[in-house]
Amino acid sequence: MARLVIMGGGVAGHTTATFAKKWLGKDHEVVVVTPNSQWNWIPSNIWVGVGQMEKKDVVFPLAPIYKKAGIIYKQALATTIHPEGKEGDDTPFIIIQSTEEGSVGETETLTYDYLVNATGPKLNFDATPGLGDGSGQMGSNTVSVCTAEHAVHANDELTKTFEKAKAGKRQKILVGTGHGTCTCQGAAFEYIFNIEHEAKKAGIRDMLDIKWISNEAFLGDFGMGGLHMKVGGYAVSSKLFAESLYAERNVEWIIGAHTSKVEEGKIEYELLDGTMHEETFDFAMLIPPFSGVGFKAYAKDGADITDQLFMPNGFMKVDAKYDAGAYENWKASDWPETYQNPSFGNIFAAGIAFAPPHLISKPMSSPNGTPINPTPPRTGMPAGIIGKAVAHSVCDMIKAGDDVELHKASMAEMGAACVASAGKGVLHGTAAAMTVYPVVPDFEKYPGTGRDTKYTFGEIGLAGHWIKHILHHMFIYKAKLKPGWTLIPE
Amino acid sequence: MIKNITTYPTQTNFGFGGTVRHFDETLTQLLTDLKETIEENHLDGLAAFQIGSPLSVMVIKKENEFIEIINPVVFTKEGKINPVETTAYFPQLTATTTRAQKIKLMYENRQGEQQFLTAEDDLAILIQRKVDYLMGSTFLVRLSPEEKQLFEQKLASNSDELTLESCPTGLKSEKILTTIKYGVIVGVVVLTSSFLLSDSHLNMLKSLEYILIALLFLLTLGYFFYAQYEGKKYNTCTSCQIGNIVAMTLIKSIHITGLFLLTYWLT
Ligand SMILES: Cc1cc2nc3c(=O)[nH]c(=O)nc-3n(C[C@H](O)[C@H](O)[C@H](O)COP(=O)(O)OP(=O)(O)OC[C@H]3O[C@@H](n4cnc5c(N)ncnc54)[C@H](O)[C@@H]3O)c2cc1C
Repeated sequence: MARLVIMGGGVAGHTTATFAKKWLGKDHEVVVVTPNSQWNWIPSNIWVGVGQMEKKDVVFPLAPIYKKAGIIYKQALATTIHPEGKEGDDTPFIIIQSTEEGSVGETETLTYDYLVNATGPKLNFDATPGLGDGSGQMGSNTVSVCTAEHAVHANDELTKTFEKAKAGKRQKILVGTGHGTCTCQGAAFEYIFNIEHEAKKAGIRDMLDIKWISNEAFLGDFGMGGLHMKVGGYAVSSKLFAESLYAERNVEWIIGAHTSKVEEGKIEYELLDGTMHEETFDFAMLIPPFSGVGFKAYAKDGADITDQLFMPNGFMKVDAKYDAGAYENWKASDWPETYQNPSFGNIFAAGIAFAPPHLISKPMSSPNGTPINPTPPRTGMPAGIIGKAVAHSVCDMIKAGDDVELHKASMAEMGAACVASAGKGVLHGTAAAMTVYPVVPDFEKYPGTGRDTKYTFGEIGLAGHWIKHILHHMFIYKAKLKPGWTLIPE
Repeated sequence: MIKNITTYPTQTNFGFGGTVRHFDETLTQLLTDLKETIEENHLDGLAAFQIGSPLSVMVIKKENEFIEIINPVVFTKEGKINPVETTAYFPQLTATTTRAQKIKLMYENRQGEQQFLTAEDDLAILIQRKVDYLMGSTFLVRLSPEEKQLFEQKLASNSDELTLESCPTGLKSEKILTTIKYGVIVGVVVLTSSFLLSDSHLNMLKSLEYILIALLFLLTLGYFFYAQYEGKKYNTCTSCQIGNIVAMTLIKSIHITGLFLLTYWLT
């Protein structure tokens, strides 16, 4: 009997675990180590952040689902990886630390035959002074919607801001990225337009100054040089749609910005031309930059081998080309396909946890040398697809030996369809549907742009909102492993 | 080499927004082509997209000097103005757009070195127009809904003579058309409930549907005559021309007949 251990039960880890268990059956063990007792459909957190959904609508308890599926569930944080085992015993293992009520902090050794790292991002608030509290958590100056708890807090603060506006006090709202190297602009984009939508519904829109701040090179860049929309039957950049949306909704914007410092009611930021500026706010939601969760790895003799498994930013090394060099040399083939760690063939990374070889969009920095460019987008669809491909590979290895051909899922061969909510409501909701293919430009296949604009659909409207809402229910249904869950795509 | 400039109605079906990665001979050639095409056509600037290249490159001619702008990023926009613009894609036609009065631009020169430029008024407008091309579009995206409707009229009649006054938006005849459209939709939606109704209710529904259909026919007739009356006032406006009015009357009549047949069969 082989044991597959999956660290992290988010989008990627949950997909890997559920498919692996389905394919392996009772003959082998699948163990999930994840610190939260509840699974969170993160994309819907923005609706919790504006009070349009409650936390209970976006989470559900994991234990009963895993029990039903026959997956062993450890509510714990993985802390260290020992891929060579220990002196006298070659069995690889990880150390985990319980987060379960009643046993918090207790450690356990968990051996594995195969290990999948699907621990997602560390929300690196402390990368920007004042954005974090100095101990790795979110600070008190701004809010976030990255977790369900954060979103509940964001809604509490937003409600207070709305009350003040109702009482006749003009309020300044700032939403965007809290650092020059952030990704996940799409979530902030959705949040700002949902706030705007709710403000209109509450009749206080004219009491709010709403401003966007981001590290993107243009509005609608979303960290991948823009997506495509259809206008008059032809593909155009999401930039044009985003610009008209910001103008139409009277949302001011700052782009090409690195938020360098956050204080109570004020941020400092640097623009692409190196100039420094300040912006004040009454309410701010700033997405933190992401890093890997920061595992340590040790050899049999106790030597630190973290650098064999991880890049300096904490993301796991996989089968990517990390030495591609300057921007002009980047190729689609630099991107990983199997997500297998090059040093240890029984370790994989899935979802945000893998280290990308380089940025997707052109690197940019101010004349002061400050990098101001989005890091590669890490959305749910690739996380799910990669999670499934890794599950496939591991299952094949378990059943047929380590020499089997591994399953591939390169982001240079995946398209992205982004349905961005700009307001929730049965009749008055709006969302923009945008697409891009492939996510990572392939300049060899598509000379010039690296992208295939023929693969384009979508526009903005109520239909988009309905799609977004249906996706919410579909993905939670799938994650709960209800009948037919395997038929719902990642 | 002097290149052909894509003009309306040719639709551009190549890519756009392609970042220049190699500052080599191909780029030099593209810059030369852009300059020669600008000179030949007496233009003040051209985006590579206008001559069939998907790359983020534009050349601006300012006081007889060329500015070569590669991979531009407009990172600051200030002020709002409403200039009357012309562009080579729509020869001889003008439109009133909305633009930023001042922009700050980061770009690269032909050596790939980072440059900054602050542009105001005419230069800012020109650069913004070219940036729209680099993203696969034209100044159409910078028009207010009314201006856009007017510009579509100009395109249809190939005349720049039209103004918002000579062809106003929100004509009464167009409102009648919208009312007919919603009338038909309501008729169809109400019909779907016929499956759930008892016989006595069904008869009432049928009568109501026929009244609605009669009203819609009357409205269509009203549209036919009123639109011609309105068309006399705005005789340059294509939506007011008799061919268009006849076509719209026919289309609406077909829709209403469809509703009549549905009612006849279903109830
Ligand atoms: C507000 C917001 C909105 C978004 N909207 C969209 C959207 O509309 N569409 C879209 O495609 N994507 C969206 N995304 C991105 C999407 O949520 C991510 O791509 C996806 O969650 C990534 O999956 P993952 O499994 O890699 O990471 P996660 O889903 O973050 O899962 C990582 C898991 O690992 C656990 N973990 C962390 N550390 C450890 C440890 N040491 N040991 C064990 N477990 C650990 C975490 O608790 C978590 O459960 C959004 C993201 C945010 C923040």
